[in-house]
Amino acid sequence: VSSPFAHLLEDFLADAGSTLERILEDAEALVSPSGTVDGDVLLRIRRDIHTLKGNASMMDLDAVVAVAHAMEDLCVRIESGDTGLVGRIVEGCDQIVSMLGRLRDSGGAKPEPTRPISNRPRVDESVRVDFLALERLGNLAAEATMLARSVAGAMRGRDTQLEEDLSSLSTALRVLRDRLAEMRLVPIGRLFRRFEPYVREAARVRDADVRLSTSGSDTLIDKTLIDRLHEPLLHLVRNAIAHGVETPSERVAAGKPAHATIALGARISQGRALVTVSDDGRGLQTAAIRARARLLGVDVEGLGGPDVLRLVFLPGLSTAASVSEIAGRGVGLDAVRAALTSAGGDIDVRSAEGFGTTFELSLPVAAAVVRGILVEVNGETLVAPFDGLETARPFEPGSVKRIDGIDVVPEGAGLLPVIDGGSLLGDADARGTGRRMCVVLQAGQRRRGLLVDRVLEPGEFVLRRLDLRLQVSRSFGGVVVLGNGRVALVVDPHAAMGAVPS
Amino acid sequence: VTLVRLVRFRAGDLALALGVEQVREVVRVRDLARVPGAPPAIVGLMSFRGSVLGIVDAGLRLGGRSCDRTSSGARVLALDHPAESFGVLCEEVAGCDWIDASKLANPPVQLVERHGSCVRSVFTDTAAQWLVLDAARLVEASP
Repeated sequence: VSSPFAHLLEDFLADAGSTLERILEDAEALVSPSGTVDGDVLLRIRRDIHTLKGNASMMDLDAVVAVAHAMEDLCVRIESGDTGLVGRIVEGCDQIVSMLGRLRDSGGAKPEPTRPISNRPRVDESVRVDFLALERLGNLAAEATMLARSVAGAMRGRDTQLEEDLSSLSTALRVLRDRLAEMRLVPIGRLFRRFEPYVREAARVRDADVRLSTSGSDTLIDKTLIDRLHEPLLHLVRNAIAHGVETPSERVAAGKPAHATIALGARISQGRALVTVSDDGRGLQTAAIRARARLLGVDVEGLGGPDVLRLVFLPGLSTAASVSEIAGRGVGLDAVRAALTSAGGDIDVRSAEGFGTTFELSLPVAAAVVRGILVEVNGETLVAPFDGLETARPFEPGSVKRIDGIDVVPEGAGLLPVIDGGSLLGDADARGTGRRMCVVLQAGQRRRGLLVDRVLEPGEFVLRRLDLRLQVSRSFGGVVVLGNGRVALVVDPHAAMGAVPS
Repeated sequence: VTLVRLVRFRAGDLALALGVEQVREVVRVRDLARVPGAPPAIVGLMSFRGSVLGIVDAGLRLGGRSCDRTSSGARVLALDHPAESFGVLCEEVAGCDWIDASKLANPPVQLVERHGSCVRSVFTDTAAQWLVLDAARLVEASP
């Protein structure tokens, strides 16, 4: 940068980062589902772009100025109702983010202009569709698929031509159902991207050297999850920067690279979106967590390492007052967990002192396809999700033992803690003494056996959310409609494990 | 004369009615899945046009006896917005008729005390005194 203000480059980059983050956030809220432009939001965006352009001009960054200028033109057209151009605003932000990234990496060398952003919608420009309408269509398609399959079954062997036609109809409807479900999915990278400027700015303020890495950005998840994940992720990233990672000198002294890394990752497993926030910082100090928990009156005797770490989610444990005691694993992790559980999700933590911490967030994917196995418990059909690694096995009914209040069955040379399927249904006398099959549930690193009467068949099912007014037990993450029209509850392994002693 | 159209039905010895605008469709009772954790009046889950309905036993909900869902007249009234995730289980649908709105009276205090705030009004004919229900309250205040 040849500007007389070159010494302000770091300040400019930090400012621009938070401005771009704000524009991206505002762009999401700019147009309502019904297609109306929010005038206040648009005004804010225009002001931010204008400031950005002015600062970039001061820094002699013509390429950034050009993109910002094009974005201002887009705002004028959006104001006059061309709402299809909002995506181009986001594209402009992306271009500036990558220009500024190159600028930082090159130590101030001016970025080359990139291709100009178009002020015309792409030919394949998307259409805004009310999300609820999409959801209803998806449900109807699922119902039609099921009915067609049922009619095809009834006609089997009666009329070959009709049977073939019905089979084609079933296939077409299934494709329709799947396409509708896909329309709800967006890459989680959209959410991850919003943390890039934040991490740069927060690290600068704290004089830390923190890099953000992402993986699984192309993981497609339901759009509703983006909204549900933003706050909890922001909280965890903020905590990691503020308290999780060491200063560069501390890191070098500990034999680590001077720059710390915060990694965001995503994948789908067992019909749930699993999102991880990891840092390679100082890790959680279990001794300090134990001490703090004792002060709060928690019985920590006999708790194993992973269970001690999970104490950080207790209300009052990870408060600001305890920051120094527990390696500063931040404010209100109980609030993060509460936000996730209210959305049917959960959070788990792994940590090694000196090596870092990983939080794993999981959420049921609305209207996602869940892979599972149908089981029968007390006459009720349930879906036990599985990821294909482990399924069901028989066991001797008399082999269930209770050790320290936990039911277990032998597994190889060890013991597998088990949950009785009846207890999930709220049935009394649920010790599972009469059950003959055990299905292994997995939630993060935790495994539990689910004791059931019969194992029916594996399959893929469309997961439906239930109305909260039904107050269904948290042990179930949703329902599926089976081929025969019956409804089956889907066991949520995370919540089901939380319902019994660990 | 202002007319209102009501779906009349019987559940657990009670004569009940819902405004026709609150009912999407009347369907036969299918197999119900259990709803662990739900209030006692929610007796199961049933699939309906691609969605899943929580089934409220109108008899139990209003403090009476439960409906016999195996009776030949048993039906589910699939409710409309804002209660579209619910269906009301009854033992018989008595009819769907236009009623002179002036014949609807406020529910007597003792009826409100007995059945709660989900009774919106009452009307009486030669057959019975019909309690006209508010669908949203029926599902929201479900004890």
